[in-house]
Amino acid sequence: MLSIIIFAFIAFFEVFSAGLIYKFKSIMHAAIALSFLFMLNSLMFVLLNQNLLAVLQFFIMIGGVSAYIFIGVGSDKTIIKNSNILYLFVFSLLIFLAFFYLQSKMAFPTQQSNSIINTSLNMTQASNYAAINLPFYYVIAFILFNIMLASVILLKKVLK
Amino acid sequence: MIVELLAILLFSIGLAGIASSRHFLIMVFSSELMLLSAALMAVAIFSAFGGNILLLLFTLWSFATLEALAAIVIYKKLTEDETSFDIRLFSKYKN
Repeated sequence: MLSIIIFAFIAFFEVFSAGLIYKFKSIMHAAIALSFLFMLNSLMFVLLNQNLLAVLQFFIMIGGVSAYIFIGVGSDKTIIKNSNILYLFVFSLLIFLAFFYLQSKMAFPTQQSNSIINTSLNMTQASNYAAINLPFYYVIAFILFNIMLASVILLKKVLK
Repeated sequence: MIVELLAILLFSIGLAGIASSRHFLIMVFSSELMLLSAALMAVAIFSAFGGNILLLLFTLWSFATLEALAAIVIYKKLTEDETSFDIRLFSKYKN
């Protein structure tokens, strides 16, 4: 019961912060709402019993992406025009209904019919992926590091 | 089921945000929101059916990071040139 209440609380604030991105007039405030949304999404991962993914998401999205956005737009004082909230509401409702219909028609795989998927429900067990996928993670981490370096160089050129 | 619905709702808000907004950075934030909802949907589905999701999530996070960095670089350039962030006016800056 408690987990349902916590889920409802997090879900409400997640949708609320998503709406605030379009409501705020300052781009910095919109960025803060977005980072709050990242944090709530990490909490949702914890509710799904994926603690490692929650920590990774937290580090990457809050520590990385949000930090870049804050540094990028932090000094800016531009007041932005609000998005049309009525259009946003109508569009999101229509798209939600369309996706909900598609999702209700979708046939999800089951444990019995699909032999590719793992029987273990813990997706971050070391024995499952460490030996096979670790080089891929290193490659991705290396690519991310290169992207970070290249972006810093580009920023320095732009700001010169 | 309910987490999937939340992911669909967040994705819808992101998609509708791109449709209803004309500001360049708000559109980028909307696509970040869509990537986030995709990660949530993937985790919800994989936690129900099992499997290794980490590679998929790393790909999603890589795209999100790259997009944010590219957006900040373009944003700084536009701010420096004192140009508008209205996406409809971007074709005027071609030359």
